[in-house]
This record gives sequence, C-alpha cells and structure tokens, in this order.
Amino acid sequence: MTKKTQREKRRYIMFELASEESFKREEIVTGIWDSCLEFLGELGASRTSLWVHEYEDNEGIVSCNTRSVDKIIVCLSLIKEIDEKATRIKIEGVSGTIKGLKRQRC
Amino acid sequence: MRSLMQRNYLAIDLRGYPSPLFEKVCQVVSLQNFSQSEKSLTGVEIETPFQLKKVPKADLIFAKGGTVKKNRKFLSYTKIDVLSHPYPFDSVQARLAAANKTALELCFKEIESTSGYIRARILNNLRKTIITAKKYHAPLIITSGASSPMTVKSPRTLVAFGKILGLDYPEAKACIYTIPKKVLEGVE
Repeated sequence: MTKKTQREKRRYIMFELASEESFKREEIVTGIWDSCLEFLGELGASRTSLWVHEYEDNEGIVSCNTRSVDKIIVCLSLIKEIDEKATRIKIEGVSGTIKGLKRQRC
Repeated sequence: MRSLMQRNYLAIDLRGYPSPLFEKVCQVVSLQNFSQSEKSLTGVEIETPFQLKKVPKADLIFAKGGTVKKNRKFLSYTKIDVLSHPYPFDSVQARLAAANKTALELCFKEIESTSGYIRARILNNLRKTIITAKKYHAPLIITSGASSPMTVKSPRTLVAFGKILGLDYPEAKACIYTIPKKVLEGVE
C-alpha cells in the first residue's frame, strides 16, 4: 500500500456537454483521450493521470493530478467534435473532492 | 446556475460573445462589417496601417499584426488599443507596446481553430511573445475569440490557457480582468 505522503494529489473537474446529440460514456472517454493525445502527446498525456470518473445526462467528472489541471481544462475546451458529431465542453468547476464538486452545483 | 469557480473569476473579454460569465464583452468586427451599436461594446479590427485614416468611432481599435514591419508600424500609433496576432515579436515592439500602452492579444480561438503543426507553431510563437512582453512590461490580454454561444469559454479556461503559455496564476488573472479594464478605462 502506498504511503499517504507518497500518494498523488488529485483534482476533479466537472464538465457539461453542449451538444444536440447524446453520447455514451465510452464515446466521451475516447473523445477526451483523443483530444489529450493530440494536444499533449503520448508522453504528456501519460503525466496527467487522467481518468474519466462518471458521465450522465450530459455532465461528467474527470480527474487528474494537481500539476495538470490547466492542461486538462484546455484539452477539454479544445474538443470540437466527438464521433463526428459537433459538440463543445464547458468547464463547470474544479475541486479536490467529488463531494465538493457536487456541493458547488447545489 | 453559475458555479463557484465562475463567481470567483471576474473577467472582461475584449473579443468574445456576450455571456453572463463576463462582466463586459467586446464584439470585434472587421472594418467592412462595422456598425456602431449603443447597447454593447464594439471593436473594429484593421488589417493595414493606412486603414487608420478611415477608422470609424468604435469603443476599441484592434490591429491585426503578422510581420515585424507591420507590427512596429501599428505599435507606433497611440490610437490603437490592442494588437492581435502580435508575432513575430521582438524587443523593439515590446518597448513600443509598453510606451504606448498597446495591449498584446493572446486569442484562444487561434489554437482552437488549428491543429497539428500549425497549432504547435502558434503556441511556440505565443510563448516567445509572452517571454519578451514580460521582460519589457508590455501589457498582455487573453481573449476567447468566441463568435457564438457554443464557443464561449469560461474565465477559468482562459486562465488555464495563460498558464500553459507560461504565465503565473496572478499574471493570467490580470490578463483577463485588470489589464482589459485598464484598456477600457484608457478609451473612456
């Protein structure tokens, strides 16, 4: 088990999808990773510890390490289409916990 | 509902689309399509120095740079408020921009509308521009370049854009609020 001091600090980013189409979670994950790989490259993307946590009703949460928050925000904002369907991603909030993100929404 | 993050960031977008996320938004059009509206801030963009003679009465005057010669010419006029597309940028231009208080624009749309090699070149040029501008204390502004409600970017996104180009958080925040505010105050 990793020591608490050695554990990487994470930030959770909530986003909202602005699109007329509806998407499955897998399509969103592919779209986000494609954008990150295009913008940051394979080495850069590997350093972000990116993970898509949940996606439901055009809203989702991704997480990354604290060093890469700005890079991930820009990557999400650069998405113009997913699966050849026009779409945009709006950043709703950044927090250290998922609970904190959901509190922001209320 | 506006999220906590958006409440925290006061922002002025000098080239964008009206949105409640921003305190003030300036809509920029080219000289040919310009018409004065009293409701919102309007800016006019000129592409060549001789167009300055026939520039209409707008809230802000933007100049589109592109070459060293053109940039220096634009920066020598105090009438110009913002120089967009400021690269290739050098120390002479930086001194002129600082002396005449002409802001240099870093537009998010430039990297959004490009990809691959072109995007990498633009990012490289913007990064070099920032290094020179910081050294000579030339004012920098970050804009979204949005032209429709779908393309509006949140202030947090613009701060993140400034951060990846090499600005610190306080500098990036100044680029979206303090400096645009000064530019607008200078005009008024």
